[in-house]
Amino acid sequence: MSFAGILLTLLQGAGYTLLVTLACAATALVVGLGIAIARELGGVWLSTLLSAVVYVLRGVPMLVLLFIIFFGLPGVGLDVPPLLAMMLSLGLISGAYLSEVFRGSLAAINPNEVLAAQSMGFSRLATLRLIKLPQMARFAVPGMVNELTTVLKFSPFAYTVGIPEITKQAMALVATTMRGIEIYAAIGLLYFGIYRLLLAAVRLIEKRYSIPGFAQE
Amino acid sequence: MIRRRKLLASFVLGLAFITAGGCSKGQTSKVINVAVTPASPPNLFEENGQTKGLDYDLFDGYCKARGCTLNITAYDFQGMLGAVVSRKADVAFSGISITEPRKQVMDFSKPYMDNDWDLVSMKSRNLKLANLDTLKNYTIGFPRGAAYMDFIKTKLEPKGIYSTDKAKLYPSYNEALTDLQNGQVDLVFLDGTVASVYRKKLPIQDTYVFAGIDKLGFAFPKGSALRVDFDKYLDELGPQKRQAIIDKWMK
Repeated sequence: MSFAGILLTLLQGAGYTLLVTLACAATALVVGLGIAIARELGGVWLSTLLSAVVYVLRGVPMLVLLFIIFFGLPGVGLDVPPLLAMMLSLGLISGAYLSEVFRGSLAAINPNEVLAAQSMGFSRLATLRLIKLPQMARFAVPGMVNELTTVLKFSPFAYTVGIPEITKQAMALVATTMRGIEIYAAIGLLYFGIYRLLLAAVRLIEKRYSIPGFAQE
Repeated sequence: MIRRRKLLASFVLGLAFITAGGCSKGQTSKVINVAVTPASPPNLFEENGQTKGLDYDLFDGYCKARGCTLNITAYDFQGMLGAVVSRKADVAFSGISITEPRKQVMDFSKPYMDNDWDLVSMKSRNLKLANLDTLKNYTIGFPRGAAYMDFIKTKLEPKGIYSTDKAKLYPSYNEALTDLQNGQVDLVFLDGTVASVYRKKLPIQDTYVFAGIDKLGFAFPKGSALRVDFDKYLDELGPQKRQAIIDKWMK
């Protein structure tokens, strides 16, 4: 089998890798944003509770949480499908990290703008929606790209719960050909390709919503 | 704006469909959910995207006889066993050894073949062990979750022959054999069946063989009715036809 043949075989799993990455990244975005907004709008108790949740999620190994959800929950009658298990493990953990990225981005907003909004009679919700969130989203792009890359690199864990992504194709191929070095090199190339694809998509979105002069402030 | 909302709705619907698709509950009783690990030739492997092997032929024969279809999901070795224990799979097969600890959490079919365990090394090292006295001088590698760990713990460690903390664990045979070739591990535990395949592909040799200590079986969730029927099928198949399937893959 030629190197192109190896790449072609591994490509059969690339769709699943992309699906797992996008599904988990979407979960992370929703969770991260939800936590960041709740911390802003909620009281001290909610904020403390969410900080504790983030603290725990950041400390739990991803594979352990995945095994608890996928293999453990059926024991109490909850059968979680593979992709949902990935979203509830990788997505949640990544969401916890993203919430910290968003917290940092919110802290970077000029407090005078918030003060100005309050003096104009903006409610807390309106201040968040119209002043803070639009700026936070733009400040958070580098951190979000980092987290998206981490999600992509953790996606091979999907194989342990039966999703036939790139690593599964590679394991099956190595078992019959024993050409490990070429196959692992091909995996590296594919992941780099997917990373570039995701990066291009983020850049496109960033460009679409960029405000001239905003970055120079 | 409406187009964008439609696009988002399609993505969410698609995602919901895919996440629910992994669930076995909605399928008919004629579909048997199978967990395999496609890195155990000749028992179970993939070629050109097709699942093949000795174990597959045996269970496919059962399904053809009973008019059912197989829904095969590939896991790593630990995940495959976990899928049976958590009842996500109705059966698992990929050269699974029948062991006492496993029997506590899953049921096994009647053994369908006897198996040796081979400790292999690189031919270039010309490593041969007449007995196990010097085994402790070498590092041994094998896949995580494999039965070798229990064997070392219960049979070798109490006699001072080898200790579990010296063993090196890998995701599958692939990585263990790659590390053997790289010289990072001295010996690798292989199933006799798996060794018969890799001896043809790699410059490896048997350093020591634990003969006749292992029996392979199909793994089912506890109390599985499918296991009872599969055992019945193995009896119907008879030892000669079963051996013919084994010989087809072993030669």
